Amino acid sequence: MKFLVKWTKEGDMRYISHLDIMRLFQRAIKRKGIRMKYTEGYSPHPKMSIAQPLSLGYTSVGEYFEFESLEDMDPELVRELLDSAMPEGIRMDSCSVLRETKKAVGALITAGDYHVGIRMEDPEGYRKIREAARWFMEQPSVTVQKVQKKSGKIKEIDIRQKVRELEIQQQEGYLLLSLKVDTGSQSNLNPEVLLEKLRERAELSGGDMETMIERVEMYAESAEGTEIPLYFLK
Amino acid sequence: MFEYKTELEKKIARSVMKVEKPARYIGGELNAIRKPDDEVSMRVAFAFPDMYEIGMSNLGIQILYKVLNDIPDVQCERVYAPDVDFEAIMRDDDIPLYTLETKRAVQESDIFAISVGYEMLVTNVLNMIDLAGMEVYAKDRKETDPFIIMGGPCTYNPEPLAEFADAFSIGEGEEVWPEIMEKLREWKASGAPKIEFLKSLCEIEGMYVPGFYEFEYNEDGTIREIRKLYDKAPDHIEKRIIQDMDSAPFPTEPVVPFMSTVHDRAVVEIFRGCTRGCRFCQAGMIYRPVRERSMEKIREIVEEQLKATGYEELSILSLSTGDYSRVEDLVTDLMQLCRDNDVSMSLPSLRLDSFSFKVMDEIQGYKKSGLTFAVEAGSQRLRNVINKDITEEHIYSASRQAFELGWHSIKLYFMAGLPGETDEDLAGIADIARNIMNIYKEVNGKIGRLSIHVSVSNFVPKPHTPFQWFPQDTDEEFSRKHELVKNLIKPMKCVRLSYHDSQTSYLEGVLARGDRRMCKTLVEAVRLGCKFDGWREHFDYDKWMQAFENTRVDPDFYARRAWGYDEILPWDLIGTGVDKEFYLRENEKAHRGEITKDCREGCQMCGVNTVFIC
Ligand code: SF4
Repeated sequence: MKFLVKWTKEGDMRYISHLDIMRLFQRAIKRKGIRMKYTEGYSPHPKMSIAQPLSLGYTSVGEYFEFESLEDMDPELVRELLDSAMPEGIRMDSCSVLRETKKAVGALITAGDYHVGIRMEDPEGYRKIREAARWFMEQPSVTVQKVQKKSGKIKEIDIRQKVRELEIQQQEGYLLLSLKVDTGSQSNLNPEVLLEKLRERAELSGGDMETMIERVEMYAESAEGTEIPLYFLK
Repeated sequence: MFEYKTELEKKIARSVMKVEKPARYIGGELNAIRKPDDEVSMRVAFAFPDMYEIGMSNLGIQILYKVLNDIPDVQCERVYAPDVDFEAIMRDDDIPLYTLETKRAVQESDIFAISVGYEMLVTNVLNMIDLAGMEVYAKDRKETDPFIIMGGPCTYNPEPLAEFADAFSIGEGEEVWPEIMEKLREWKASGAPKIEFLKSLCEIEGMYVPGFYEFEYNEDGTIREIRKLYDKAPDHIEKRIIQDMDSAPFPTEPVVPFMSTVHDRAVVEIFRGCTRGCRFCQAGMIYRPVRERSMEKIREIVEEQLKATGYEELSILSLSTGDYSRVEDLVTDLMQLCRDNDVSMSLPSLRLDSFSFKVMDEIQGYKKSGLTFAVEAGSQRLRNVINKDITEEHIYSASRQAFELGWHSIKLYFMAGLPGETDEDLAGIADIARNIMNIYKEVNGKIGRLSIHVSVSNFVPKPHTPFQWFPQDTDEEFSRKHELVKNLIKPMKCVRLSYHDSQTSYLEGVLARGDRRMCKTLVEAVRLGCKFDGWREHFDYDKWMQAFENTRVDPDFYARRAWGYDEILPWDLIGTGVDKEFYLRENEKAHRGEITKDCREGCQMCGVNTVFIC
């Protein structure tokens, strides 16, 4: 049976890498006596994957992983079992059953919501960031340069196209940016890249501000062609 | 979004993203114990002075973590040495050494315990005390500072660390630590000065308070006298042990790290001690007598551990696994248990008989890693000198059997610089490799896939062994010996040679038999920047030599001198249960090339049975 689990990564857990989380989940599943399905072949590994790895240092209340068990189980029981096996900072929020034939959920992701918190000593900085954000949203395109991992070549990317929504609210002691951006294997934007652009436009340096980035939700395209939160996938 | 419980937590959070492997510094692992503050009346910060991934693999810490946290109002917390990148930030941002469980400054605990696993950690010990914001010399520390108590295998000769520790716990810690905590409870209630607590520790067997002893020296640098400064301090400190392994506490819910560590798997200790009596081996002497855990108990521990950790691998731990009295039953049983739980099993050194081949054939991956023989010396004569009970016939017949079963790789362990060693003995190393190569050729018709790995380590004479009086080879001599073996092995393309760094072995030798006069050298070495000396990329021999020079301590005096039988040894205060007389007898027998039988076949009167039950 194939399960899709929505989970959160908060507090110090943001420093735990993708690979280490994989191992943590595998061990948790094992500890709770759930028998996983393994891949065939020379070095079998459990059929499990985490959708759209989160950058180290980000928190999230909208993470997903899927895995296949040998036996059929009640998804709520799976959620409860796994939740009870987690360290502080990781919660299993919901669990649903996916069609076995479904391809990896990670490959279906198109968009993601993020919260970006910015804290500055100088309140003037907040105004500058707001200004920069307004400017950004008004542009038809904003490009940044990216060094290609493999070739080392520099490529121009239009990040404006990747930002679908950007809202700003002043909170007690910090500025909160709510973003909806392209996420997934087709088109992806790491909020840090946008933040860097805003910083540059506002003529601020990284040292002027403290930032926190949290992923809030991820979306995929449904059969009907609309974008839906991942947990609606069947 | 930006809230932290404490200022320190905030500083840590801001820093760890700037360093490699932040998971080392945040704690919060599965099975880590964090008690509510109002339930805690005593805090112990327990350190292993090496990187997280090494320290987390240390079984001793996991055991004592359980022992201490089993006491309801005690919070034991872990501390490891920060890597150099994080240390730099800690010093810049005024982040003191802190505990992983509650992220409190170590200085806020009642006891700062440090387990010193091996000699090359001593600079880290000092560096960590300093990072904790304390003076390294015990005499300079404040009344409000925690007590620093050291233990671990390296403290069977505690003297090079004597001026830094308030006390040492000698031997196995399972029973001692609850006793220490009781004394601490009484002392805290009394409100007396720190010295009173140290005095009360003298009532606990196995506790050594170095400040209560003074060493005097002869003109020639040898020890004239050890004088007590507190009349109730014991004349002799006998190590503590656990007599009954079945009732001894063992972690069934060990802390499971997030990041991968050196031993990232379930582990069960099946027995302590060793009866073989190899004369170079400190572990074989200091862990006497042999004490086995019952099969039933082992199974129980394994079952609970697997359930509590979800580990995918199990390993069993002991000095020479094959000596467990019911080893075949045990291994068969555990293999079945592992199969039932989708867990793989790794087995250290088994004796190579038909049973072990059957076992190894079943355990996946074994063929790849190859057969291992600890041969130690290249000739039967020298093996008799060191009392290593392995014959070439055995090695050859086991190799042949392995090759016939389709194995292709063999690992051979040797030592250079053993007492009475000649160049012929060293040439014997190459001969053994050649003979194994020829056996492979006989079996397979050609050399083909054969790979033989010869590893040569340098012999370091250790306290509490029959060779404790022996002068260690110079590093030039070690290097010459490595060359000699290398040249003989070179023509054999299928043989790979590796050897240990001679300068590291020399320093290890100096520290192993050091005394209190070396304390100032350690401080100087740290001042010059020495740390992580066990890591090749950090070890700086020249700085160490500079430290000896600056403090006018002659390292050769400790490592390269033939010590006299009638000398007072720096570790004479410390007892392992084995008589000094026995070491002396064994050393004499070594000179004559006489062997001493495994004491399972008859007691060899080492003296342990006068203190403990054998
Ligand atoms: S007292 Fe005898 S049996 Fe016990 S460890 Fe010593 S030699 Fe072996």
